[in-house]
Amino acid sequence: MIQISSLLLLIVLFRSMVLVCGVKYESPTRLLIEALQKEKADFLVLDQESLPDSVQMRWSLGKDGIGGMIKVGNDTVDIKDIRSVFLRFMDAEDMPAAKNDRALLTKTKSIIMSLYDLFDILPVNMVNRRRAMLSNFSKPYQAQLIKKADFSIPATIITNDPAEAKDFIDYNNREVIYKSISFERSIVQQITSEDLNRLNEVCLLPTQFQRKIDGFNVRVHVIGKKALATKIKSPAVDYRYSHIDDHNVELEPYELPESILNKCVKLTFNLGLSFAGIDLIFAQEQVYCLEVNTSPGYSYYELNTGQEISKLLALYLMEK
Amino acid sequence: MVARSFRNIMILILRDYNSLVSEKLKNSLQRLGKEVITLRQCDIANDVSVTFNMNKKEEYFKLLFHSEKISSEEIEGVLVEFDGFVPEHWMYMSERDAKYAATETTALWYSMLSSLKCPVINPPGSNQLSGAMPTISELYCKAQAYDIDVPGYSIIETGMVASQLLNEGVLASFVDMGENPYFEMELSEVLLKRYPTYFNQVRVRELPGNMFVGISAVGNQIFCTSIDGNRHGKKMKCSEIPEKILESLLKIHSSLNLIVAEYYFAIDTEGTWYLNSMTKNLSFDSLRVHDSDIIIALVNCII
Repeated sequence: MIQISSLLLLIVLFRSMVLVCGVKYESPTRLLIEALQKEKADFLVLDQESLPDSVQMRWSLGKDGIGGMIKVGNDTVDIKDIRSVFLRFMDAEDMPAAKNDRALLTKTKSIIMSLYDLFDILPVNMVNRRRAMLSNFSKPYQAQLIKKADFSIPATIITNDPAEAKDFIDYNNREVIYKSISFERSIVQQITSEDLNRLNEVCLLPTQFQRKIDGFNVRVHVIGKKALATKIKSPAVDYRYSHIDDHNVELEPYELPESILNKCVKLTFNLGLSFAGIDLIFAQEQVYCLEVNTSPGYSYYELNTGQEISKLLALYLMEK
Repeated sequence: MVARSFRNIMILILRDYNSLVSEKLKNSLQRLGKEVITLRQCDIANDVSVTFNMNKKEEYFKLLFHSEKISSEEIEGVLVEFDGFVPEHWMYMSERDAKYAATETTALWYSMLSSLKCPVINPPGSNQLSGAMPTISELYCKAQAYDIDVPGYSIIETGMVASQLLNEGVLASFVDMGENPYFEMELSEVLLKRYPTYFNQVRVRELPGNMFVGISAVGNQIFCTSIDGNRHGKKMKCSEIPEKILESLLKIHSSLNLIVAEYYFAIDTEGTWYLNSMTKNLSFDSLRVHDSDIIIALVNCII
C-alpha cells in the first residue's frame, strides 16, 4: 500500500460533517449555507472559486475502505466523518478567474476531479450523485424514464425531415412548441407562422417538437421523501423567460394531490436522485411531466414564495 | 387482419473508420444471411433523415439513409462503437453551433438507442452511447465488494508530494487530474515535476506483479489472453484462472450493464490476482488470439 509521510495529518475530533461544494455566492448554494447556519449544522464549504488556494486533499481506497483527509483553510475533516455532500460545482472552464490563468484552471479541475472520484463511491447521502445527474443530458431519454413512473408526457417528435415536422404541427393544430433535445438551455417557444416559413431549416439538425399542453405549471422540489410544490401563473410559454415578452409571473405554494406527490417521490428515487426539481403541467384531463432538473436552481422559487426549500435540504443533509 | 412482416436488419454504427470488430461481425452476420447496414458518424450527421416519435404508449423511429428505409421495429441488434458525436461533422457551422449540433445529435441517438427492445452492444449509459464506463474508483470499489484485490490507489494533493513515492521505490503510474485524468504515465521525477502537474492533484496507482492477463467478457462467455512484458497476447485456457476470480468477474460484468468488456489483471509473485483496469472494447490482441470464437460469441449476443 502507498504510504507517504504526513502532510495533512492533524488530530481531529470525531465529527459529523456536511460538505457543501459549489460557488459560495450562487443563490442555491448561498441559501443552503444560510439554512445550515440556522440549523447549527457542522458543515464545511468547498467554494469553487477558492479551491486552488484553500483546499488540499488526500484519500485512498484500500482493503479497509476509503480513508483520507480534506483540508479547507485551517479546517481538516476526516473523510470517514463526512455525513453528506451537496454537490453543485459549475464547469471550471466557465469560472471568470480561470479564463486567463491556465495554472489556476488545471489546479481547480484537478481538485474537482479528485472530489468527483471520491464522491462517486463515498457511501453517504449525496445530493446528487454525478452519474444520477446525467439523465437530463437527453430530454427524450429522460422522458422514457418519466413514463415508467406513470406520468404522462406530451406527444413528441424529433426530426430533421421538414415534411414530418409539418405533419406533426398540422395534426396538433399548430399547438406545438419546440425546444432543445439535450441539456443545452433553450427558450421553449410556440410555433409561429414565421417558424412554418422556415421549417425547411430543420434538415440542418434534428429538432424536438412537442404538443403544447394547456394548463398551469407546477414545479415540485423533492427532497428525499418530502416535497414542496410551487404553482406558476404566467401567460408565457416558458415562464423562466417571461420577462422577454413583458409577461408577469406569479409564484405561490401549491398543495399537491397525494397521488402526484407519491409519483414525484417515486420518479426521483427511480432516477437515483435525492433532490430533484420536477416540472409538471396540470391540464384539465391529466398531469403531464415535462422534465426533471437534477441540480435544481431552487432559489428562484424559494425567494418568490418564502417556501423553505433550503431548510428542507439542510435538514435532509443533516439526517442521521 | 393481415400481420405485417418486417425485414430483420442489423445496423452497425461505426467510428469514422472501419474497426476490426465491426468488419468481422458484419462478415459473420452476412454469411448468416442477415442484412447489415453500416452508419458512420459522418453519415448520421449529414445523410440520414431521422424521425423519432414518442407518445404516452410507445417510442419508435425511422431512418432514411440514401434509398434505404429502416424502422426501429425492423432492427434486430445494434453494435455501437463510439460514445458521442464530434463537432467536426458539422464543418459548415460555426464552432459554437457545431458543438451544439454534436451534443443534440448525441442526446437524440442516446434516447433512440435506449428505446430499442433488441440487443444493443453496449447498451447506452451515463450519457455515453456505447455504454457506461465506470471510473477507476467505481471499478475498484465494485471489485472489492466482490472480493477481488485491486492495486493500491491514492489521490495525492500534488505531484510534488507524490514524488516522495519515488524515494520509497514504489512502482506506480499516475495521472494529472487537472490536465487529463485519463492519460496514465509511469511515475517518474521528470514527469511529476512538469508544471503544472507539480501543483495539481494526482492519482497514483501501484503496479503490482509482472504477469498480465486480459479477460474478454462477451455476454456470459469469457475469453482469456495472457499478455507478456512486450504486450503480446497468447491464448490462455480459462481453466487456468482461479474459479473465484472468474465467478466474481462475471458478477462485476453483469452489474456494469455491459455486454462486451475486457478486464485486465496483474498477478504478483505470490500468485495474487489484481484487477487493474478495463475497457468497453475488444482489444486487437484478444481478437487476434481468439479470432472466430469471440466473434461467434458476439453474433450470439446480437441475434
